[in-house]
Amino acid sequence: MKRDNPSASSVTAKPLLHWAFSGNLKLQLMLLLVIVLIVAARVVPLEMQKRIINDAIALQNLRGLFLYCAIYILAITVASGLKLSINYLQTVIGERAMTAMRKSLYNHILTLPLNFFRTTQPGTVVSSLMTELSTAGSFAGMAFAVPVSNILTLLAFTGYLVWLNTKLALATLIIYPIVVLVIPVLQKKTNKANKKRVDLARATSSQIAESITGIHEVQAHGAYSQEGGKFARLAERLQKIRIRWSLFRFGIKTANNYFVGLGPFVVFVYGGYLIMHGQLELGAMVAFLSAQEKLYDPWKELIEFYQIYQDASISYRRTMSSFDAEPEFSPDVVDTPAPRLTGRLEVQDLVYDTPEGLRLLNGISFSLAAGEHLAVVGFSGGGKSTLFQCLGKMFNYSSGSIRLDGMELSTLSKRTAIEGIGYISQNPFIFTGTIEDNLLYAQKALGRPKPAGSGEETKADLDRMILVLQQVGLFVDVMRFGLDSQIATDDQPVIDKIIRIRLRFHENFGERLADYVEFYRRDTYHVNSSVAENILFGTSNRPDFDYHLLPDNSSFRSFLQSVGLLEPLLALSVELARQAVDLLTGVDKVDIFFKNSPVPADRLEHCERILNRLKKQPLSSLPSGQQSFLLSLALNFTPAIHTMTRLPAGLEKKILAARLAFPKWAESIAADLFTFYSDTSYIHGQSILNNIFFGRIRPALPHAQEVMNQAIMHLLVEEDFLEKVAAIGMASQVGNMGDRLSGGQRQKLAIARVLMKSPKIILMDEATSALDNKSQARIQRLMTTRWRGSRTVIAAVHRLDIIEGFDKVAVMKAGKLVEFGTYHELLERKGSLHELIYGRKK
Amino acid sequence: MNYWNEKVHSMNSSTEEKNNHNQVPVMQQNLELLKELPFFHYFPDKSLKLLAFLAKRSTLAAGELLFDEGEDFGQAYLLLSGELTLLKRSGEEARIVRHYYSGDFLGSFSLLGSMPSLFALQATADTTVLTIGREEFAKILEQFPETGKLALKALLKELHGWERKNLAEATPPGLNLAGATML
Repeated sequence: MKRDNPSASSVTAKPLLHWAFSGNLKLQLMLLLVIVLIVAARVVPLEMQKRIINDAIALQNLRGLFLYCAIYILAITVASGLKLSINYLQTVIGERAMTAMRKSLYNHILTLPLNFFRTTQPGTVVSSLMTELSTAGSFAGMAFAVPVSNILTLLAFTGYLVWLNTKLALATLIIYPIVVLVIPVLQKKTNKANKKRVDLARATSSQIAESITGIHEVQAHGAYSQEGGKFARLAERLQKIRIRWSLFRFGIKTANNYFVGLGPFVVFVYGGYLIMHGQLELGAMVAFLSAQEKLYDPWKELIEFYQIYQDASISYRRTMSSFDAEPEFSPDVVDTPAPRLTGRLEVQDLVYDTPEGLRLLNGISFSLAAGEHLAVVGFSGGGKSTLFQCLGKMFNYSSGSIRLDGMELSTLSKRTAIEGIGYISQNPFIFTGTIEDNLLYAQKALGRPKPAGSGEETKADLDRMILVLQQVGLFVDVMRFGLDSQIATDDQPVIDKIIRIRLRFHENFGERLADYVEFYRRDTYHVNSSVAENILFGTSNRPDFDYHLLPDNSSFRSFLQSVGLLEPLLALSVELARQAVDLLTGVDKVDIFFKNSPVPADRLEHCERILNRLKKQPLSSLPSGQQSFLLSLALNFTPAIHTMTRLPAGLEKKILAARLAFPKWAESIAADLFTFYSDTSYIHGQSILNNIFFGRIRPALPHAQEVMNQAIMHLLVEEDFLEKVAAIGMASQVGNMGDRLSGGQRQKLAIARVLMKSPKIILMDEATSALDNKSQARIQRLMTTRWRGSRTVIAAVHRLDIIEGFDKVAVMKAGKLVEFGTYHELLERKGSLHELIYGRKK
Repeated sequence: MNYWNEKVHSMNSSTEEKNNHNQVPVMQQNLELLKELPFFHYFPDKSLKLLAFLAKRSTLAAGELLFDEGEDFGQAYLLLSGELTLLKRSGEEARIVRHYYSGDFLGSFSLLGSMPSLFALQATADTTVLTIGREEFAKILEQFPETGKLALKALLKELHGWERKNLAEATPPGLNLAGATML
């Protein structure tokens, strides 16, 4: 049943060095060239040194001195420049190799069988790809450059030394073989420690991932110390092993330093002896001494390279081996023309065993004609989900057969299966991005991207998306997202349109919706708007006069003073702060408690401190920062939301008077500083909906939304603006992994995304479980009116009241298909289905 | 003056504005109302205060539906003014089950968990309700663990009252049915 696929698994089998060279050959050759040049540039100064002392200084040759010095400095400059280019090339190669490694490993991981991820934590994958491979990557950059350049330098210097004085050279070089004997012994111990470190680090990140994934459970049981303890034990073991590992690493360095440090000692003792006996010139000894010292650098780098190589190959091997599994299916994206399926399905003796040997499906057989609908019901744990995953080619079944249009599923390419079969799970995953991204997700994966370019095609695509959204009942939500969005300030045609819709809206619905919307009027106080909005009755055109900056603005404060508002507003602030502190001190800082609080959760303690201070001192003694903070509370005060306080008597009149005085003050600061609300101007910074309403929605029950939706939709259609708003809605973000959507919205989006690729077979694994009755009924209607006869549907259903509409019903129990037939046949049989619906017979 | 303003001028009927002359904050009014309800009788002050803060007032025009059969509305309602009617549908027809008036408190069971409604609830006059959401209530239970027991106690009391009223006088077949499912 399983097909071997040697090419796919080879990612993890590739040797580390493969990444350094494959695709980087040109760069490596360039590097080699630069290295040869730099080695030459490094030897030149040594010879110059000798000549400066022997030929120039000793012979008083001034011209020679300048010449040699010039060559010396030139050589050093060139060497530095070359060194920089080596580093650069090395970095480029290293990063390229690491990226290549990450990309191919990641692509490999994505294709691994689902079973693999039951035992692999996301955290392990993250740390493997991001941390552990980075050592391997930086090694790949140096894999060629460092050994070659250093060995060449070493050979060049050695050659030069031998040429200077053979005896002395051999005497100093004797040290190096000793080092070569000692270091591997130490390295072996280092490697052992390092292997443990890598494994332990992985175990630790798995543990972190587990605790964080289960954080709800941890907090629910207050198991802080339990989870903390698990982590602490691992972290402490990791600490011990890391110390041991570092000790060995530094041991190697120290041993190396020590032995190499013996070099000058040999030169002084033996060289001094040779000079005294006239067998060596002083200049040669100086040159020898510096050449000998210069041996040290390449040598040190070689040793470091050796260490890095050892560490890198260990983390590389460990990482790769942990993902050394075979993908179950070749993820062929090759464009073999996929056969068009009709949706006929035959399942014969289907068996699925888990790798642990558990039999989850035990001899399932049934068949469906193209376009037939099957409801699968049964007890949980009966194998429904497993059946669906086998049918969706997500697992390879162990034996038996699944035939689509007479073709065995296991022989069909994964692509054909994906194209023909749409699988919708109970807890669909929504990706971070826009609604549209998610809607087109399955379609894009098939390489059928949204046609860009000609307006006609894009329009057709938009129409199709709107149609699908309507079919699954998500359209109203998307419209709502669109209406709640803001538009760019320079989009004049859209702005004009919205103003026109506003006028028509008020003509047609103004009276009827007055209960739901508080319309803006120049002479009334608006309880759904903040105090600041009530004073300004407009929006600023300059960012430094935004609402949230006004409390700090001293000239705005003197305006408040001049209209007699500053004192009463500060008094209101203190009252708000007092109420909030009284009500919310000590409760959890969760959104549900704080969303209607005048004081944000993170400022509650600040408030408390200010209130304590006010017990002893007057308001005027507060530092100006605290005063503006207090003022901001009053300016944000919105009576309809912040129900714990009322707007004090008399303040409303004063604010309305301030509203009339405000434009004059604004004019005195700068012309056109604010745009004041008027029924013919657009309010920037507020949603499209608020702009159409020209007012703010009162908090209301869900039914009110429906009333408003109907009114608005009607107008948008008439004004030919519906598609534009839908497009804006589809471009809105769904939040991190879709967290801004409700459970029902997520399921609808998941159904819609499968519909977009229009598969012939639709598998719904309790795909409507989070939907309310109306939405459920809508999907049901969609199935019976649009899909019957054209798409084969297999749905796991937990609500038995809807299965009557299916052509066939299958009852599953303990991995077996115990009943299969039409709804009425099975009821008459009075078997399992009857029992499920009416309960056990007495 | 904007042309539609005259039209809506006399229409603003939202509760906030109506009560504007009254200087008691809305939350305080909510609190007094909740304190009167037997369901919250033993709840500690601070928890009730928070609940009053989280409760929302809404208005319904006559004829509007609060929820339909099968919907899980997830809220409890305290009727402040107007009239609500409980309906049971059968086909196209809807039978009136009973009416509710100011002071009635509905849906306390649904505060504790998902409960698809067996009936539909409709406003039969312009109505104001105070609503408490299940999510908000759940947060209160979490914040004040002792309220869990109190809520359970209140529910049992309600259930007992219901049984005494409806089952004690039930005919034998009805009693058998109830006996199998409830007791």
